[in-house]
Amino acid sequence: MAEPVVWQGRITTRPKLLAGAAVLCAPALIWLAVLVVLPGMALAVLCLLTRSPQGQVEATLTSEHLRRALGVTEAGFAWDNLRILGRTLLAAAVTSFAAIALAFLTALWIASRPARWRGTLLAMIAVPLCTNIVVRSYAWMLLLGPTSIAARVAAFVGWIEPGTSLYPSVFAVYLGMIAASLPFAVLTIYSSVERLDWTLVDAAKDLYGSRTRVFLHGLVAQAGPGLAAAFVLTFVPALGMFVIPDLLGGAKHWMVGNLVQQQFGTSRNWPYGAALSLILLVLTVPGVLFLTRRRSREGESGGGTPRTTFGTGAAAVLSAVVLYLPLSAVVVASFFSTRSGLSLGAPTLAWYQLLFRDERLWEFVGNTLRLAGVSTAISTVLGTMLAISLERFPWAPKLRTAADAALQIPVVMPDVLFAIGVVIALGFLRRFSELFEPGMFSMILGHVSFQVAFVTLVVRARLASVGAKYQEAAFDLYSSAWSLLWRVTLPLLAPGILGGALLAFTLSLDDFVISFMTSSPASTTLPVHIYASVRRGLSPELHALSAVLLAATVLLVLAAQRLSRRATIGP
Amino acid sequence: MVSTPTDQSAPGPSLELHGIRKKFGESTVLDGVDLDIDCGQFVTLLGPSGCGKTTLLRIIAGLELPDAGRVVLGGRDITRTPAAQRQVNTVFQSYALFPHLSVRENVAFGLRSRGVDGAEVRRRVDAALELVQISTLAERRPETLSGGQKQRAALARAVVNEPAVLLLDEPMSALDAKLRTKLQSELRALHRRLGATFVLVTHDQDEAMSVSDRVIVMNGGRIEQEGPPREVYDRPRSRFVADFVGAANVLAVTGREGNMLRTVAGVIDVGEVDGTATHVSVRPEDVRLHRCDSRVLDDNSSLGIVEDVIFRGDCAEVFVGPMSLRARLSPAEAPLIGDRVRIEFVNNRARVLHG
Repeated sequence: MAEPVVWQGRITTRPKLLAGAAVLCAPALIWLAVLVVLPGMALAVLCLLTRSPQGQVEATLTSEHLRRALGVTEAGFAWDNLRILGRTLLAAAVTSFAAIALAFLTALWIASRPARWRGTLLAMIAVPLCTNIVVRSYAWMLLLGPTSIAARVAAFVGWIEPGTSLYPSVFAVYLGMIAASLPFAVLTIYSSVERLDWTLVDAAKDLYGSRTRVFLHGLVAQAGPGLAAAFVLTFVPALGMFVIPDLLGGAKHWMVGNLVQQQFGTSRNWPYGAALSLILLVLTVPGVLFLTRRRSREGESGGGTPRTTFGTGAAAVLSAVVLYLPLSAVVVASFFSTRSGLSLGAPTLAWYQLLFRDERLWEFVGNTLRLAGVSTAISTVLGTMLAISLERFPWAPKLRTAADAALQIPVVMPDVLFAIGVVIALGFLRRFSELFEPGMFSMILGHVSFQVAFVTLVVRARLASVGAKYQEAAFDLYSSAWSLLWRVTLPLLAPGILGGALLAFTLSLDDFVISFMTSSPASTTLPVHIYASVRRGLSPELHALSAVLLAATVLLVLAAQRLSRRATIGP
Repeated sequence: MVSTPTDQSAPGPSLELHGIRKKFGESTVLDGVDLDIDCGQFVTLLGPSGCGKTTLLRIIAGLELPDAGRVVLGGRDITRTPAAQRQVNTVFQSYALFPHLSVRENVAFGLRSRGVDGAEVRRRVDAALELVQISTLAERRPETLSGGQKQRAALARAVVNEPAVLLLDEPMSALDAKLRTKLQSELRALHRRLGATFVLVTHDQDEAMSVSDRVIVMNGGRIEQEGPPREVYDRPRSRFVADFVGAANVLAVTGREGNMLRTVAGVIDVGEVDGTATHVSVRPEDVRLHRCDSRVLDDNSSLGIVEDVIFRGDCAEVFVGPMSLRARLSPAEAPLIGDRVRIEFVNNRARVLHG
């Protein structure tokens, strides 16, 4: 008979507690193990296997793919891949640095606004973040196209030939990447800027003369760790970007993400793709380790009144332009009749009418919503169960920190690596059942594995802030374990669960990479359709569709903001 | 309906603790605690932080399991009984009112857990709210209540279940002084009305003295002394108790003359003295100071110089050096800083201590 222990108001035994925890966390963990962890480990094996001429994987060992990935051939050193690698690292580093600098100043500006504006300002940052990457990228194509103002100015100045566009080019790729990284960077940095101690800035002003030194010693010194973390959170995903280089850079500016995606797509060379993925994975490891080692310093808010010098206002304006100019261009273009050419043409709703009559489009909308709905439902249940098992059971400290670290990985990892894992897992499972062919079912599997970590993080944060004291109070008042769950835990968790579900829903609606690599023609979603359309050529119907999506995103973000305001029934 | 005052002829459940031991990791928090509490008593566990009083309370509540020892309620061993099955309710230090429920729903929680039917729940909740005087706040949410109102709500939530033992974990630590005094007397009245056993935990000795029938002074996981408040105050048995309960001047004994003990602050008459007395405890209010200009006195008095005077409204605290003596006088009698004073002790009020 096991030794009785008391845990959060309940007398039970350790084995019973662990059994309860295991039941709660098993579904999510099994899901993640099969679709994320095992495939990740399989990469190491896969890269050593052979590719048959038909594109199948054969069980013969060879180091050919690894060597090719690293540029080692019989004819000597091949620089192509290494050049792509170097280009990727440079692009990720430069754009992350630029994005962080701009984001820091913008976050400072937002933090120094009156409190009632901040929610709205942050929501405005969140809208582009919740818009899918394809729309955000091709919007730049519109802005930099041959007939755009930017291109005409550049031609006038002599940068480019008249009539040509500013893309594909390194400039366009960098611009696109900065714009893509900016929203997440702002939100991440904002959470540490919120807690800054502004009295230290006052002290610095008191001690130093120049504004530069005040900025450096008063602000940057404090925000340093937060900035470093934000840099990693921007740099690592940037390494894996492939939509932006594809649309804005073309074949001459390929990055590692494009190479990897090609091997698992049209080229059907999985072992080579695995070798490339391994390299990409290795590049991301230092960043992930850095993040998971960091102890987040909770609580301690600083004091003092935020100041707005140091050019933060200008930075905020620049951010607004970078984030909204392309999107605005798309929305504006959707209301005018021109297809191409120098002038906009007459205002018209024709494109919207076309849109609403396009039956195929409605099918895609249906697919997107169905996918988002089902995957959100599953991931919310799994994620909530996982979060409860992590917070409400006495894990050994080491196990808990490992779990914390593991949960942060999907947030950081480049999308393309995640998608590869899912593709490999599905490829393996396909041998056992046709269910795992590309299609809606596979897409759901892929989306859930991505969403679970996010839901768990959100619910866990809510659980932690609610604390275990209500549990003790409930047991003191004769509650049973079941009654505790229904009458206390779930009601208190509700805002967190809803927030997690909303986040998961948005992630699914937006997702391009996983959907792209696991979809079939019958299960095309809107982002995948938009990408295919963009490759065929920009059209105003596309702009109309994007404008509608944008409007839907704005509504969603506003709804989420209202919800989070009501959810302040804190302990 | 809330119970009527104790019927003396019907013995209720008494609470007994036998040999309670508890360790958290390497530190021993409770080191063999034995305690008997009769039904209907108001008992306070008094002690500094870390003395084990809260742990002991939680063991009675069922929120902790002792490593050794037994908890017996009304003759039944409840040491391993889950909290949910004990006739014991707790008023938590942070109140722990469920934020998503109204005050009424909070108070009704325990009754609903036990399946009491709707009409009865309503009746009892109304009565409990009436008892703590927050009937008008029934539909409010906890976050809209003030500290004092939350405390009453937490109290109502506990007493509505008519527990055999009511536990209070530093319930007034978050309230301001005036509110605290008011609620203390209300708590006392509530106890008289309900007749249940109350066990209060606090580090505030004023609180302990004003509400309890019995004070149990704890230190380092053990009970140092217990008894009615007056007794613990007037006759502290150890240095710790003398110092913790009320202020005390603890003077080292430097010599002995019959029934008189010589200390640095003069000679004190303590009645019966045994040879092992090491210190004498004198309350500040038992010290008298007389302005004196002559430098020579008889052998039994001591001279001192006033180092500081602190005016506290209804009294003045006078610090006399060089013997670090604290005296409490009425403001009218207080000397000035720098005055030379003769120290006198009110007879038979000093206590002999043995370390």
